[in-house]
Amino acid sequence: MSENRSRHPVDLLICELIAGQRQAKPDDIAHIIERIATAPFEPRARRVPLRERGIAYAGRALGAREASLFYHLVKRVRIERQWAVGTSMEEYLADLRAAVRHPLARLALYRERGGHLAATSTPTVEVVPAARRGARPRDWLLVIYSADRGIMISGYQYSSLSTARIPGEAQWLK
Amino acid sequence: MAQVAKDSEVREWIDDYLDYLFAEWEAIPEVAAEWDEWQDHEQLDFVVEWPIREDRLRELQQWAEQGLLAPQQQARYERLLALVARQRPTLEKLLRD
Repeated sequence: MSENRSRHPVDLLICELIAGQRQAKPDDIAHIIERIATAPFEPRARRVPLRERGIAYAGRALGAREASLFYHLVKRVRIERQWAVGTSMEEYLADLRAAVRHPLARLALYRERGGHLAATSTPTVEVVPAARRGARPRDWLLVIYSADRGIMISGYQYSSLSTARIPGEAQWLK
Repeated sequence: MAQVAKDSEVREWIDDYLDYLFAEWEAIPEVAAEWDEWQDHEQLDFVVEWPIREDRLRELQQWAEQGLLAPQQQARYERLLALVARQRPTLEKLLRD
């Protein structure tokens, strides 16, 4: 991972905050939010579990490997039914970006598997238009960002923070 | 009539969640068998997205406690809990790895 490690100042700031090397200032929070909201989604292709291969969406079926954004969208729409059929990759990503930027979004920084992550949690109804909510929408929208790579790595809906695997020692900046 | 419709809708969600959770928990041995071949970003993705399953399991538990499961659903739910108990140690190892 080291050759791909982000050297962006805001990503380094996130790592320093998680390490306890400094205290967050109000400007820091605004910079972190903007950094996450403008980050690309994980660009690397990823394997698709056997049981999910062949699930069709937007005119094509999941193969053995897929672009991460398309794979996540298919899961959100076809498997978990959090977003409505017809939602495009652009719309899904736009909902995640809107969630990060929303004034009600909470922001946590924490470590996971040795990496430095940031996550925002936002009321779903505030950012996902009714027409894009699926048959099984949940109350909260979680967006997860890797500060090590400067990319968004996941975004999904959930009903309770108690199941969200954000550790107790996470720093909640807002 | 509205209550009947609501109960019917909840039971539809329950069936949906049961189908989803059986598929996800039954897949744990397959995930474990392949885990060492997965790249770092694939493992991290699995870890950060696993809570979707725990979230749905928690909701299902609440509906069961509220007595909202039909007898057939309750039987499936009990089989699901047994499956979860069997797979949980393997899952925890993957999440910690």
